Order: sequence, then C-alpha cells, then structure tokens
Amino acid sequence: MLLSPQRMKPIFAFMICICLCGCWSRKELTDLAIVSATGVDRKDNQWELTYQLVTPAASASGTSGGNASSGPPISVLSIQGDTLRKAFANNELENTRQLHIGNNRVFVIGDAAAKYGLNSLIDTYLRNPQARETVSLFVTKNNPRIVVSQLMYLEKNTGEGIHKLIEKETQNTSILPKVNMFDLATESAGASKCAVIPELRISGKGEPGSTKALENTTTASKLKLGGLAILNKGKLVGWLNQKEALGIAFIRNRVNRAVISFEFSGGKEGDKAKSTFEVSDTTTRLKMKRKEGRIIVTANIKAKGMITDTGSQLDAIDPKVVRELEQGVGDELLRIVLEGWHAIHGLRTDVVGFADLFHRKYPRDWQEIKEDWAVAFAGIEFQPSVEVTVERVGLINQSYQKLLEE
Amino acid sequence: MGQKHREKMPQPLSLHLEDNLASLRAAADKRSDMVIRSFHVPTVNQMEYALVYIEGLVDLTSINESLLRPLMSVLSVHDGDSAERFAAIQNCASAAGPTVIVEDMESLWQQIMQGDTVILAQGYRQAVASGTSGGEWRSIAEPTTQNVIRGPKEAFTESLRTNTSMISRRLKSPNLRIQNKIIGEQTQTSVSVLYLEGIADDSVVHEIQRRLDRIQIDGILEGGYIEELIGDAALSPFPTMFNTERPDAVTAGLLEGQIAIVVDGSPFVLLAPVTFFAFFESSEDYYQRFYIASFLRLLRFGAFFISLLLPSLYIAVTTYHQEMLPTTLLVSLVAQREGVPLPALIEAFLMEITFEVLREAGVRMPKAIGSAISIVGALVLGQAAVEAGLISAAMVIIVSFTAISNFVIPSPNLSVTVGLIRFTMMLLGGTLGLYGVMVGLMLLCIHLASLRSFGVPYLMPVAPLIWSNLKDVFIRFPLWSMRTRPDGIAGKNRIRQKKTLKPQPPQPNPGKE
Repeated sequence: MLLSPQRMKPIFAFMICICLCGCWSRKELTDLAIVSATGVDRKDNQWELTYQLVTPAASASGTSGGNASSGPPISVLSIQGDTLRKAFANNELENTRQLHIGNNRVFVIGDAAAKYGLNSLIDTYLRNPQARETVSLFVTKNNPRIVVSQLMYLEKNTGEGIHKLIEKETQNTSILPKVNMFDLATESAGASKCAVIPELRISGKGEPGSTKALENTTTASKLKLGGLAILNKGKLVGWLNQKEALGIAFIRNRVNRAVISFEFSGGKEGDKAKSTFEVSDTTTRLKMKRKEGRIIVTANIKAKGMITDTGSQLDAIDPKVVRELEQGVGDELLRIVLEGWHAIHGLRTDVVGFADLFHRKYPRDWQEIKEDWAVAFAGIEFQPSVEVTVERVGLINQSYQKLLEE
Repeated sequence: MGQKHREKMPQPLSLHLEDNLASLRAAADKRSDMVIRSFHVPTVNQMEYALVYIEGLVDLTSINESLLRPLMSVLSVHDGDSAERFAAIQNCASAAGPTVIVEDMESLWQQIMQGDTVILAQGYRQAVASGTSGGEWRSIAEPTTQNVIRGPKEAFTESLRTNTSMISRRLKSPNLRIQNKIIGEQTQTSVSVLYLEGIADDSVVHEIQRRLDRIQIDGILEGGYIEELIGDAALSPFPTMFNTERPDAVTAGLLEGQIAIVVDGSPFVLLAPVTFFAFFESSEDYYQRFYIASFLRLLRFGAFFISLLLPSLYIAVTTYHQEMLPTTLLVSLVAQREGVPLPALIEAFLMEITFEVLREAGVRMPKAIGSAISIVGALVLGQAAVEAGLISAAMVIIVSFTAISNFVIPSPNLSVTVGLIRFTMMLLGGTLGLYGVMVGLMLLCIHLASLRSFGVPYLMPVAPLIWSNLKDVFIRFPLWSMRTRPDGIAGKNRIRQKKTLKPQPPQPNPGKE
C-alpha cells in the first residue's frame, strides 16, 4: 500500500527527470582550462586569439599535492580563425581541456585589431553567456601575444595582476580609467560613438615571460600602463599621453584621487619650486549653451585636497599664501584640462560626452546635428574654470625650506 | 491475538482460596518471580490468607513492615463477622499504599503486574490489592542528549511516576492535569497525558486522547511508538512531535499550551503540537541573556542551512557554475582536484556516507573504544585519503563542516532528517546544478508548508505569518516583552505576565517630597 502505483508515479517521474538530463553540461573542474587573460589581434586577415591559461598546480599555493612543481604559473595558447568564435572553437584541435572564460579578467587588444574594429568582439561578448562583460579592456601597441605571456612579480596569475593594476590605478591616480566590455559597448553605442581604452605596454625588450627571468630582481621586460587609446565607432583613431588622459578624466568627472605637481613660489616673488597637490575629492559640472550659433561648454571643476610636499617657502598660516597656493594648483589643473581638451579636439573625437549633453539640452536640434556631430564638436568653445581648496597641508604648517632660512 | 483475549469473559474469583491460588498458578505457569505467601491466623475460625506479588516489582520492606505485620496483628485479635473482617483487611492494606478491590482474575492479574500486592482470603469473592509498587529504577542523572551550560542538570528517568513528579514539582499549579492510560495488550504500558487546563487547547487535548485510544498494539516500549502511531504526516521525514529528556523543557512546553505524553519505561517525553521552529530552540535560550540566545538561534538556523545545502552547493558550483567562484578560489580548487579520480558528486557521496558510517559506529561503539573511532575517522580517512589523492582536501573540509553544523541543531531527530535530505539535495545539485538545488528547496518548502502537527501549521509563525509569535523564533526577545503565549498553540488563557515587567530605575517617590 505504501508503494502503490499511485504513489510511485511521482517518484518515478522524478527519477526519470534526473536520469534523462544525466548531468547535462556537467564540467568537472579538472576538465577546465582556466583563462585569466586574453589577447586578440589581426594577423593574415584572420583573428588571432591568445589565451593565458592558469596552471593550477603551480599557481595555487599550499596545496597538499606535494609536487611543488617549478613550472610557470601560466601557459599561453594562440589560435586563429576567420571569426572570433571560430578561433575559439579551433582550441578543440589542440587543447585537451575546455576553455573556461568565465574567470577571464583582462582582454588585451592589439592595435591592428583595434584599427580593424571591435564591433564583432563586442557582439560575441554580449551574445554568449560564458563571457563576462566585466572583463577589463586594454589596447596595446606591442604584440598582444607577448603581452599576455608576461609574468609578474608577486602576482602568480598575471591576468588577475593586470586587473588589480588598473583597478588600483583608477582608484588612486585616476589617469587611466578602468574600462570593461560593458562600458565600451555602451560608450560606442552612445551619442558620440566614441570611447576610450587604456593602454597596456611592455617596457624593455618585449620577450615572452619565463620563470628564469623572475629569479632576478629585475626583468628584461615588464608590463606597464601607458596612455589612452581613443576609439571612434569601434575603431582606434588616436592616442593620448598620460597628462592628456588626466585632463580628459577631469572633464569626464572620473577622478577619484589624483596627484598633481605644480610650481609655487611660496608667496614671494621670484624663485619657484615644485610642490605636490593630492586631489582627494573632485567634481566637474558641465554646462552647455548656445550663443550666436556657437556651442559653448563651460566646465566648473572643484577640487579639494592636500599638499603633500613642497620645495617652496610655504607658510600655510598666512591665508594670503594659501590663496596663492590654491591659485597655483588651479593654474596647473587648468593647463592639464586644456591639454586634454586640445588633444581630443584635434582628433575630433568626443569622448567627454558633450554629444549626450547636447542631446539632453536640445533634443530637437540633435536629430539634425547628430550626423555631423564631429564637425559640430570641432566648433565647440570649451571654457573650463577651476576652484581649488587646499584642505590640509600635512603635519607641518611651514615648509622645511622656510624653517631653514629663518 | 489481542482480539481473542478481549472477547474472553472475566473469570470471577472463587470463594475458595485454594481455587484462586490454583488458577493464579496456572496463569503464571513457569513464572518463577511470582511469590505466593500463605499464612493462617490462629483465631476462632482459622482463616487462611495469601499474599501474591511479583518479586522485583514490589517494595519488600513495605510489604513486610507496613502490610503483613499490621495485617497479622489486627487479624489475630479480630472477631467480627466476615464483612467487618474484609473491611479490616482493606484498612490494613491502606497502610502500605492505595488499595483497590478486585473481583475477577483478569484485574487481579493486572494489579499484580503493576507491582501491587494482592491479599486473598478464604471465603471471599473479592481480593484487596495494595499499592506496594517499588523496586529498582535508574536514578535521576544528567541529560545525555540535550546538555546545557546553564540550567537544570536533571533528566527524566525510565519511571513514569518519577517523571511526572519531576514535572509537577516544577509546575505546582492545580490546573495541571495528568491523565493515565494503559496501552499495549502485552506490555500494559502506562502512558500519562499532561496538560494545563485552560492553557492547553481543549480540542487538541481531546484529539490526542482520541488518537491514543485508537492504538491497539501488543506493546509500547518507547515514546517513538506513540509518536509514529498518533503523529500527523505519517510518511514525512520531519518529526511532528517534539521529544525531550529535560523536565524544564516539558514544563516550558506545558506553559505555552503544549501537551506532554509521558511513557513508562522511557526517559523521553513527547510534546505536541509543535512547529518546525521549535526544533531550533534549546531550553538554555531562556536562561541566557537574550542577545546571546538570539545570536545562538541565528547560528543554529545558519548551521541548519549549511548542513542541508553545503555539499550540494559545492557540487553544483564546481561542476556547473565555475564562473561563480573568484579566480583564486577556482584555481586552488582545481589544483586540489587535479589527480582526483572521481567526479565531484561521487566524491561527495563517498565522503558523506563515510561520515554517516563513522557516526553510526560512534553511537554503537562501546565507550571504551569510542576514541579509536575518532582517530581512525579523522586521521586515516581524512588525512590519508587526501594524501593518497583519492579525495580533494576541499571536500574533506566541506564534509566535516557539514557534519559539525549538523550537530548544532539541538534536536537530534531533526538533524538526522536533515542528513537524509542532504543526500537528495546532493543528487539534485549534481544532476541539475543550482537549478536542481533550488527545485529541491522549493519542494522542501512546499512539503513543510503542507505539514500540520495536531492542527497547527508546521511553519506557523512564518507561514501563516503571526507577528506576535515571531518574538520567539529567529530572535529571542527579552522575557519581559513576551507578554502573551504563542497564538495558535495555546488555548483561552493567553496572557503570560504583567505588562510592565521591564526593569526600570526606581522612581523617586513623589509623596515624600
């Protein structure tokens, strides 16, 4: 009675459900090749994908496997194909394990690929569920294959290391923004169709990484963050250096903390000396207006921060000196911002989002102007203004230089 | 066979003592522990008497000193008529304990088996049974399953009367009702139903009585028999009655309107109706400050979910959803599993079964070699299996943490249930991934929501939601804020305490100014 056919039916159905699906799409951990960084480039009219694979035994510390193998923590695999997914599929021909791109943190794009256009790359990322749009993007002038095969000190997993590098940089100095695939997709599809991607470059000889090289205290080649790549409609159109990149970051209101060096006389005429101002809090307010057919954008940048070193005769007790100090910082900041502006103005690429501003302010006129926004952008008059507040000067009020001379 | 027994007409006692003793001897054929002590008192009519009892069930001193000695001395000088003499016998018997007059063999036998001493006399169709029950019982000891750090340290014993006395000593209210029943054709086990009149719901009391009366079985050896025979949801793995060996827990239950069932011969007392959340309560929750108690409660709920889900989540995430893991963790898990020959599901099953075997062995093991088990279990199976590369270290961590979490659940019968469901969850996690685990959880929720314990929804304060009862579910509110008894369990008398019990700094007396 307990096991009557009536009662057995649901149990039977349940068991069938479990058996029929039979661990469908099951992937054991040991069947995976974990990708930590990917490089992409164009070669012979084909896509070339380079995968940086983690070697688990060498990467994981303190496993009780016992075999502390001294092999490199990563290995690199390059595959080619007509399309990105074709190249990805070609992996099956040479790799015993299935590529696991869910934990891929870094995507390095060669400049050839960036010039060719990234639209199909964005498409595969949005289309396939395995890939994550939160992957950090970089453009490199070097061979991405070499970039991806570099080893790092302290970080066993290079992909993770590069990811940390850009994250920390964005947080602390804000020169280069961390850009992920989702940002690129939204910015490229935005009103201005322009986007930025930070540069990753190899300083030194540019040879593939080897564990032997890590036995020395310096390596012949090393990964560094470079400038900022400017993209228009998904294609690379130009580069900014780091100072220009910082200027752009201020206009885009993407600065968390920044370090600015400036010249300051310390309230006296004559000899100026370098000092450092660390921005701890800044906001930029953009306003657009039209005057006699010209578009004018005003940017009001407010920056707060502290003085962290000075070679000048600074006497922070005197409010007049402080005002002068703020003036000095402001002048330098303005110079940085204008430098950035001139760079993108020259490239006619609106990466600062003025198109959105226009669209929001003059929605009717936008329809007419949007085709020729690059021309309109070139005609924009940009009027930045800067307000700097020095909140602290550190533990001493007067500079050491001044103390010595008294 | 119980049926046949019942149909037999009770055999009345004979006028002749010899006949009665003969039929007693026939009934107690090959029972060497029945003692028949015949004596005659040299009076005018040379009366013959006999005392009948079962050795071991009676208190011999009380028979000798309080029953036999006064009986002999009274009877030897007695010269009244037959009815007066019988009254005298009954009088004397009262000195040893409560008396019952029996008129047939059936009930005579029943009284003897309860530990009474029956006094038979020549020329009477009646006999006097005197309550002399005694004998050896295990003395009151500390609880073995539900220990506390702070709180009473005594536990129930196997003796029904001792157990009910431990409750009535704590609950001196005249409203405490103790109703006895005899269940079991062969074992004739005494079962007591305890409740507080007015506080317990009358309909539930009647229901429990009705279900108890329905039982016709040859024997009741433990409360578990009762639980399985009268509990709701006979096929559910979840217990619908609470059992405890702590008198304070039973008292607290009675005060909340629950009904206790004490079974002779078992130190575990049943409480009903009960909700799912009662299995997460320990009596210590009320003896500690409410912050600590609430923290421990939440911890237990956490441990419940860990114990239920951790292995299945591990299997699901590592075989289907690797992208959910942070890279560093993923890499270290892969490194550990490198070279492990079994798929994660099988590996987990093996380890879980190994643990269940160890646990069962630990319970059955003689105490002296119990420690050997833990060494074999922990060292040989854990460490050696990892070192040999058969099992990954992460799996050992998962299984041991699951096992330890399982023991955090205060009620052993719920923790075993959780262990069972865990295996189903693992199967679901290993075949359908997180989706399967979610399906399992849904089914579990549906099942729990469908359960009832004596008319009380199993998930009660949560579903259906009763705000006032939530004071004592996930967080134990301060005692002074728990003004009412739990809604839905308790009967008419809801108010527990005065409203303003929260301690306040003394107010300056305005009259004295």
